[in-house]
Amino acid sequence: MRSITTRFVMLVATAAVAPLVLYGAVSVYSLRAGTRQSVIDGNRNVAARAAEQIDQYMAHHVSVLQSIAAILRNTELQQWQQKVILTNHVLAYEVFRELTLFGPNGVLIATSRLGQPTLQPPRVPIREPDIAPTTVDDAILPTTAVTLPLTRRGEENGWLVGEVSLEELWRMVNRIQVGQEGFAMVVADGGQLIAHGDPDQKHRIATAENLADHDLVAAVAARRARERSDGTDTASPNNDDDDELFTEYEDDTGRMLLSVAAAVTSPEWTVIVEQPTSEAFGLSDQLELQLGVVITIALLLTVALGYYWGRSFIRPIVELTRGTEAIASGRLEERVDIAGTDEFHQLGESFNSMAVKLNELQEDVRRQERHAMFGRIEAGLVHDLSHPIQNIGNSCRLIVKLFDDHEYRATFRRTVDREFASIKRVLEDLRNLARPMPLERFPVDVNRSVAEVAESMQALADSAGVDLDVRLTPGQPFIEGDVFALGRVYRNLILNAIEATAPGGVITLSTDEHDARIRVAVEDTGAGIPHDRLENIFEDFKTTKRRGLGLGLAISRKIVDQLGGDISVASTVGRGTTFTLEFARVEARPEVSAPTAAAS
Amino acid sequence: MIQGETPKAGGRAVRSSPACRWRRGTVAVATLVVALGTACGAGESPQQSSEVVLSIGLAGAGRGDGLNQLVLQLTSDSLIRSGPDGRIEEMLASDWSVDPDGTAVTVTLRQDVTFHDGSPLTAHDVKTTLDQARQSAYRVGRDPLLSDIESIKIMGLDQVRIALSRPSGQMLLPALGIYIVKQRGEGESIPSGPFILEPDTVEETTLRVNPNYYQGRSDIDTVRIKTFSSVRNAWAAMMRSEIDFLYDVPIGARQFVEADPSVRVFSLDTPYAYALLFNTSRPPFDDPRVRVALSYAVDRHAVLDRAFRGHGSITSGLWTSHWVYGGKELIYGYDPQRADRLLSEAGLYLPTETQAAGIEGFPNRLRFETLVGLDLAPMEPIALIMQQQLRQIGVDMETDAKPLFVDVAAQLLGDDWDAALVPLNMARNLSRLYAFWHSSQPLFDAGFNQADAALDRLRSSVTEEDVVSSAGAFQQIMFDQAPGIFLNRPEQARAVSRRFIVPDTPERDIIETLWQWQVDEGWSTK
Repeated sequence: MRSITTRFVMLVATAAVAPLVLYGAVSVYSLRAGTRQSVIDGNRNVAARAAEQIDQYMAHHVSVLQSIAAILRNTELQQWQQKVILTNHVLAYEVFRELTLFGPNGVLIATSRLGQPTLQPPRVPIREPDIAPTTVDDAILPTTAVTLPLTRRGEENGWLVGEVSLEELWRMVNRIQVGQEGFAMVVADGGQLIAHGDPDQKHRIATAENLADHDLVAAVAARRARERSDGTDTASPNNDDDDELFTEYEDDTGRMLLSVAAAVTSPEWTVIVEQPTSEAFGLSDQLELQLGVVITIALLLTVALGYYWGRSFIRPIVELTRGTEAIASGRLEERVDIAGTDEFHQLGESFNSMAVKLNELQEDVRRQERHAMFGRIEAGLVHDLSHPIQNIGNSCRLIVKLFDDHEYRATFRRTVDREFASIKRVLEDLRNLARPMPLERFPVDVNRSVAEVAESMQALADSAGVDLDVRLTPGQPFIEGDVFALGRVYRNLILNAIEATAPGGVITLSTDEHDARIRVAVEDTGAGIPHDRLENIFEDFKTTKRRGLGLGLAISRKIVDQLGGDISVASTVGRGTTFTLEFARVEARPEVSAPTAAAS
Repeated sequence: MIQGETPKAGGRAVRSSPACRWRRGTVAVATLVVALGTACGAGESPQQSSEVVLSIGLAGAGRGDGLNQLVLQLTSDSLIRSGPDGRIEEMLASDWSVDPDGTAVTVTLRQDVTFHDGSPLTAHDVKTTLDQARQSAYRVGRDPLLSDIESIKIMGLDQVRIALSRPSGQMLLPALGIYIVKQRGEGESIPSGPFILEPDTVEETTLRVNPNYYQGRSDIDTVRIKTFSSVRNAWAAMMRSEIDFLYDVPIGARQFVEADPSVRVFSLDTPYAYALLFNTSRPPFDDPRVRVALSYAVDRHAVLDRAFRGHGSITSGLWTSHWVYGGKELIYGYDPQRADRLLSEAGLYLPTETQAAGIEGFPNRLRFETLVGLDLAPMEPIALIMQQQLRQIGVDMETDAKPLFVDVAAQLLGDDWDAALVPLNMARNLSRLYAFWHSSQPLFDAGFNQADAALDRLRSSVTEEDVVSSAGAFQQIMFDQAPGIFLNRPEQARAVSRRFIVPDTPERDIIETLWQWQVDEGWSTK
């Protein structure tokens, strides 16, 4: 029964739960992967756009410087005029804090400053615009210096250096916000943090925190180095291998951050956008949770419905199994109760009909068996009693005629005694079958009891032309038994053997001892018993003989059972039969057993 | 005690800082810059609370002066103070009166004031402090009316009567905003303010709460004042919650500091104005038409936007919220055509092409040199804008950039200068007007004496009507004579952690109410 339940559970699991779980797992995985990638791509786009804006922002400053340089280069200006031009541009472009013009040898020509310029010419000649490392001034504002080489007729003609305020860069970075807690930061090429959108993190700028060890800063630096060594174009460093440019890490406060980066082309800065993963993947986590809840509910519903339907499916089977087991155990009155109108109900009805039929059949069989048994008893009684009665009757009729014959009177007495004894034995058998005689259990010397019975049966064996051979085990093996009941058992077995053995045959009585068990065997060389009749040979009124009630072996088994022993039979048709008795050996009690044995 | 000296720590004498000694040598400009109206605030008694420490960050070039000034404000109280509208407010003095003829002032003291050593405030302490002040050239230089004091008489434990040599009682009152201390031994002075100066430490100055402060014990148990080499470092310390109060937020950084949600920024109008001061004793600035012309030639709004990012206001150079001016403000508008015309009327014509070719540098109708102190960040953009704007009317303003507090201040004491770009005290305390603009005073030698009569009349005004009338006349003269081009009055910003609840007192420096600050228990640190 458990197996069908197990199989049904496996059916439900295989057909419904497993696909649902698999679907859920795939959905969650797909959702997670999709949303994560979407968030990462979104943040990457933010960083890339910021990097592009910074590129344009710095390129604009360089272009303004180039236009100033063009003015200074193409006209023959006096020094005071150059100073006015520089000053006017500083006033016009607030982003320029200072503009200073240096001659070919680094000689100061003009500056927008009232006093001495703070800017310096390049230490080594440069041919391309150069952007110096960023610094944070005392007003907490980031600045850098942009140096523009000047040429006249293709020859080096000094430098225009501008101190550029990156205040707008800060504003630009401040405007970048991803969600509520995602901010951007800008890292200079040396790793110096120069802008951070998170108000709580701005102190890191003031302390000139170096982020060269940041994974993404290092990745961007490595990529630039690789591109330089490969000689590849670095104009758009964000286009390939972007998978390198994101990471997740735990910050000093224990928050997990999603960090993505984009490289600025010129200057070689890095834009990093960081967002706590709790927020970045918050929607994904929420959707996962919702999906998980839905799938769990679906699973529970599936299991509940499976249980309900499975129970309604298995219950009739269980009921039928119970009924079948009851019938098999002989309780033919048992019925099954299967409600409904389906096939199971019909099967239940059929089962009940079958049980009714079986009950009726059993009653018929019993009735027939009873009739057969009564017939056998009747025939046995007629046989067992009619012969002695007939003998007695014949003897009586003869005694009338031969009463004076002294010899015949003696024969008459013997015949009458014998036949009455036979009648008495039949009647005792019947009485013992109906009401077993009480046994008294004492240690009994088996060898002695067997020898006594053999001696008493010797005459009968002789008259049947059968040799009675007795083989006793050495010593005095004692068992706990009733010497008279045991004698009756021995006699039944020997008598059966004599009757089954043709003249000239041999009956062997033997005792032996093995593993504290005493065995008594009665073996004959008779016709043997067919195998199919051996199974119920110890039952009442079962006999292989043509005559008699067949109660001897049944009574013998009852006695052996009462004495706690075993009785068995082995027979081969045409070779003979062996009955074996087996009892537990006990210690003798000489002072008791001897008188008892003597008395028996 | 004289304002500018450091009070004694726990009864021990503390030497004046080198900055103080240096400042005495450069009285004029230093006075202009640091005389910020330093009277301490009055208020209700604060609630008692558990141990609270407030850390203040000071940074920048002037942090030595700033530290001294801040310590004075937090440890000392004056007799009276001038409110935002110039009205006299009580501090240690509970009452005062000016004799009808203006020749005497009677001051009555509070009776519940004790100094840091536990001794009560007496009329004797007031007399001693005032006597020292009127004998101090530094103090008299700042408040010339102190020299009018003829004698100070103790009228009892809680009253002094100040006799004057002239009827200047009304003008003397604001000059009495002097920190009163108890003298104990030579050079040892004990103040009575809400906090007590602890002996100096190497890295920071520590003030402990004065548990017996007469206005009530502050909730703040300890004030630590840390100095930083740069505003950047101070700001970083504030962002790291190492300090609660950034004393001075630079204009450039203000936007970013304001963006910090853990910080509240407070603005206050500074009591000084940036101005281009003319030496009126030298031509062509001895001609008021030239001075007026140049006053019309400068776009003050442009200067405000560029140099101060709009944080401030344009100004006439006077504290016009003072009650004596009645809300009247006289400011030159931007009118370059009128400036051009006035210069021509003064005989300063634009050069012809021929003339221009002979002029070295920018062809001009007028060239003058301006002293520019580079110590203050706004100076350079102000000078550049003025240069640019003056060029438009043919005026070449050359600049001589040098340190303000040393070189410029020293040069102003002589006659060898044309003009100077300086911050000028706007005189919320009217007695300062006399110090700055009366030709007899030695703060600087600008040769300007056209306002002397009006100032003398103001000094001797007995009634409020006289004061208003005299002040109005002075204001008009200042406008008409234009001794300088008065530009902008910048805002000053202070940043305080939201951990503290700062009383909302518009127009007052939050330092005045620092002792009343409370901790916001609901504010969680970052």
